Amino acid sequence: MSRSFEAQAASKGLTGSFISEEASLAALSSLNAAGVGEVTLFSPVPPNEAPKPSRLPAVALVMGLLGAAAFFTLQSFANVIAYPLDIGGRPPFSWPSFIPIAFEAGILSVVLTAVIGAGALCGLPRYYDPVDETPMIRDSSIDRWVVVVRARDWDALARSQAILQDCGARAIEEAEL
Amino acid sequence: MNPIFVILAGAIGYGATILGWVLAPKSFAFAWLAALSVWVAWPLGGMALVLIHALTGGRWGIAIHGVLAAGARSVFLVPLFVIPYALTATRIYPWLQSGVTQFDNAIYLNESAFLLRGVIYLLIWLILGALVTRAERSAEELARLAPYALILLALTTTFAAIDAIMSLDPTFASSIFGLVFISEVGAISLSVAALALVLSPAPDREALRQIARLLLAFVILWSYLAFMQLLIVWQSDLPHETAWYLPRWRQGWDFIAWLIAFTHFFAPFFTLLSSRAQHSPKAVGFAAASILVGGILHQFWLVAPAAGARSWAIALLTLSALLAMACTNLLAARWTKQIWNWIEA
Repeated sequence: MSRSFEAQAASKGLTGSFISEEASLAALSSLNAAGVGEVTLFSPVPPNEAPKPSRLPAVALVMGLLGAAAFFTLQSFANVIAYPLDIGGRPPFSWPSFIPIAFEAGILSVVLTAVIGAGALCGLPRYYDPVDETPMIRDSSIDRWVVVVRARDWDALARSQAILQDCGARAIEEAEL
Repeated sequence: MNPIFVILAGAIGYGATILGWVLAPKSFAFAWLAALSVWVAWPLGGMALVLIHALTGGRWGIAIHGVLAAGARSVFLVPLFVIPYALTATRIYPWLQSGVTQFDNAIYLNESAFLLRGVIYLLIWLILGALVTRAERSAEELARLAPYALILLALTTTFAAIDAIMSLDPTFASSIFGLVFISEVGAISLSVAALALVLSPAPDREALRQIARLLLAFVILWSYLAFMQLLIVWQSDLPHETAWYLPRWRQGWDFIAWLIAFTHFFAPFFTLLSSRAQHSPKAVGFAAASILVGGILHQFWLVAPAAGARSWAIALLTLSALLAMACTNLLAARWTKQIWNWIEA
């Protein structure tokens, strides 16, 4: 806390540590309300309130239905329009035999959507985050709630610092994020 | 529920059924079999679920233990409901009618073998019912009984389904038929128990979620097995197998078949997929009711087309017979417990 803003001209990141969940949540909501930039909370224990349900299951379901419908349509097109063959006298639109493939394709679409989507939600292509290098982040896996701010500009950085102080942060550090 | 109301509804059911028996004995025979094959899911499924829970544990079984145990006790009503079926069986099975040409499988499908097997199933079910009722209070005793009892139940239910329902068309053979019926028994009995839990004053939320997932599993199992039978028959395309589906697909029966697919698969499956619905008594109640309607329609669709005529009369008679059986079951649920306690003492 001895360094001033001028000395750290290259950084617009800020980390603040709290000793209680309530204080950190209060800081989080006022920072979000102030619109200073991207704000993240690192917590040593799972949060008390249930996290917002993800939209991923619904997306996976829709993709699964689309996949099943697409493969059912593909088989219908192939057997009825493109290559109609007489197979043991069955009608060209032999729908019971299309269902297993449509089902498999539906499951494949669901699994691919869920796996890729879950990876994307975790920010998978990015395998490194500079926040891991900050001294304070280690406390967040012991006994501190750490709020990390990626401020939009210098003014936002100054406002974030004030908000963190108002909310009772035990320590505030700047970081290159 | 008000017992007077139940007695009145049961009287209406019996009245309509007996009227049907007098006026149209053949339609009555088909209707009674359809209703019996639905109702019997309650005692058989109740026993099976109590025994499965003794082996697996879980909140779900504790929350509905009383209801399922009452279901298992209602197995003592089976002999009563089998009497009209046994008296009219000659009207519905072609291989029981005199003067018809011998079928190839007459060594299995003949009167004395059919009677003998029926008595064996009944005896096994009654003995299992008595054993389950005696062990009902002790999880340990139930767990000791469960492996043998479940194997016996699965075998007898499979063969009973073959004898009573599949043999309506003596030339049709499907090795998956018994399993379809077993999954139907599980789905129907768990749906009834789920409805009882949903309608109870303060349902246990966690138990409800577990039951919702079990219902989902039964829906998937039944749909898979029922569709597999259709797919295998479709692919092999043999005359004696496809001939079983034809009367169940023509003259409007295809509409019933799609209705079964909707009520027994699409509606409950997509309702129970959502984890929010699994927590909601209303959604689980809707899914269970839908499965119940689908189960009744499915058994009706298996039995009634074999009659070849008077489907509406059979439908009405099936419903009134079901009403009669359900009301008898509801009233007897109290008495059987008291009678049991008296016998034990």
